Amino acid sequence: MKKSSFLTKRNFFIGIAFILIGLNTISLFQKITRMSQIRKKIPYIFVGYKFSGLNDLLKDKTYISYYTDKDLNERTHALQFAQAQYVLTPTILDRTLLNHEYILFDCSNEETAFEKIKELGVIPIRKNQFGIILAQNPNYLTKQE
Amino acid sequence: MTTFTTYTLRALPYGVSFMMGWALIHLIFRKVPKPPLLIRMALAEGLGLGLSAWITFFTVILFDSYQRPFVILIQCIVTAALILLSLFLTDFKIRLRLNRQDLKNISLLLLMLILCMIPLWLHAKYYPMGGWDAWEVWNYKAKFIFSAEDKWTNMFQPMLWRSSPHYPLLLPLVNVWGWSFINQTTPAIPMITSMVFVFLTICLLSAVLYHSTKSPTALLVPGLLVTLPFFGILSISQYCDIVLSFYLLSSLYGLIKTLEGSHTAPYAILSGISLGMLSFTKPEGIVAAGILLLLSSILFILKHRDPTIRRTFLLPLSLSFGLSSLTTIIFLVMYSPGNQTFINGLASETSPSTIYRLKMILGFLLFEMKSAKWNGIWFFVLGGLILFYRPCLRRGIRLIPLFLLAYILTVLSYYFVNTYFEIGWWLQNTLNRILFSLLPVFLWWIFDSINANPET
Repeated sequence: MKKSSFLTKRNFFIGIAFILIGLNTISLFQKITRMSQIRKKIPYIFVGYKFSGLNDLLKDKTYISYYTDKDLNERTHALQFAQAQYVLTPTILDRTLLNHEYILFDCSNEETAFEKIKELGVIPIRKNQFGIILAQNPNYLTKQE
Repeated sequence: MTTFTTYTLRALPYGVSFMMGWALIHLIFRKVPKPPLLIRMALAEGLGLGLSAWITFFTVILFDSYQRPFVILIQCIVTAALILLSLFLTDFKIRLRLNRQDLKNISLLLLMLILCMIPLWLHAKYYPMGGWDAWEVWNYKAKFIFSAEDKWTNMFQPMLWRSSPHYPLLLPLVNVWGWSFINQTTPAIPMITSMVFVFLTICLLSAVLYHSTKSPTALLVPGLLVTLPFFGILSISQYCDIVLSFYLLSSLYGLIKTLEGSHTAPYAILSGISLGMLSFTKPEGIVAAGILLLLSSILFILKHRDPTIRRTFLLPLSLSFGLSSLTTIIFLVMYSPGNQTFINGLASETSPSTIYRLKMILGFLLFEMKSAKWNGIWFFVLGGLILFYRPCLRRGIRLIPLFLLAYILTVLSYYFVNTYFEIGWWLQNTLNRILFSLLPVFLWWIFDSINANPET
């Protein structure tokens, strides 16, 4: 008697593939539905946009200093820094030196930022609704000379 | 700008690249039968985008800045020249004959693939800026090239080590080209680029499988990939891994065809171009291209004793690879600041490579493969390899297992030798992407083998 050709390794494997696609489809559908519900409540926010609106002033600057009192090893703050860097491209944010012509203050509150501004003796020139402050270093040109 | 104009300007670069790639393929295969229609279409868009990145790179070097009018002009001139050349030089007597059944199957496959993209598109809409590395590495560099004028080389400053300045530039340059007509760094372009490469990868994969097996099981592969939520997330993250995956597939396709013995020289040229582009994607791409070049040359030399036949493979392969990888060579020699995140653990006394690190790497590989995020796909792959081990190791497809083995060993060795990063964190953030870029190759290997005769 001829052996049934349906029960082969190949068909078994294909059957598993179908099951996997079925399970994946359910899981994918759930994920997309969940995400759609979340997005209805909380729209997508690219936190880096907090830093937009400065490009006109900074477009010719290769570097600006970046000061923050936040811990950049923490994921949320590191993410924000990376996005700020992206938004302000091609200006490079220097976290190590505070002696560039412009200094960007991204602090947990405005008081901290203004204390540091006073300490450094720099002049705030722009502030946006997110508390991001751009200051100019008055000694910059003298130092360059 | 009206919505129609916006969409047209966004689509134009991809259209121009498609025509460029289409003409290039027709030129390569001008005297022999061309690859099947769907494969040719996928290769045309993929190689076209790679060629556009190649041209953009040289334009930026030549003018020492991104000059939009020149980039557009040169791309259009090259496209026109390639189209004219292909029209004059192609032997139109050689035509690929499609019967009605084939055409029906191809249309069905294309429709399936388009349907497969819908969940990914929905997914992508929720992450318009992609993942972390998109804005810190890939799109950042694209924006830098686009907007920094003559200061574009500042992006290679070691200070920006978080942006991996030593990574090659194919994906950023494709996005720069994508922004060229619309003249703004809209986030839509990197999203479209990633969707295009996902589509090309599943299209090439299923078309290659369909034509080699003549089995409808080829339709299962795109289904397996795009329904896997984790594959979807990584695909639309706007990272370079899906780009690497595509050029890996196209290189393997060309090399396997040459090893099969069909029209060696044109397929060797196709492979050489793909390998050059693969090397410009990521450092892993350079490793993959090197391994594939070496393995395919050894396999070809072992198979053919006749020096004339050897030359028909080695010469076109090395010439086309040399030309295509010029971008990588120039980038590595003149611009790359070198890897800022490397400590040789074999020589370092402060951060040595330890047995613990090795155990951690091997353990994490198994941990990652059984992780719930993969929904059991790696068990499925492993099961397939066990069930069909004989056809999986047959001569015709030996290049794939040899490549996978050599590549995975090289990557794991690198994890062991480079002790710059804490190994747990590093594996957790990067190993899944290595596996993601290899998944289409694994599925090709298995689905090709389940329909194959073990003796071939």
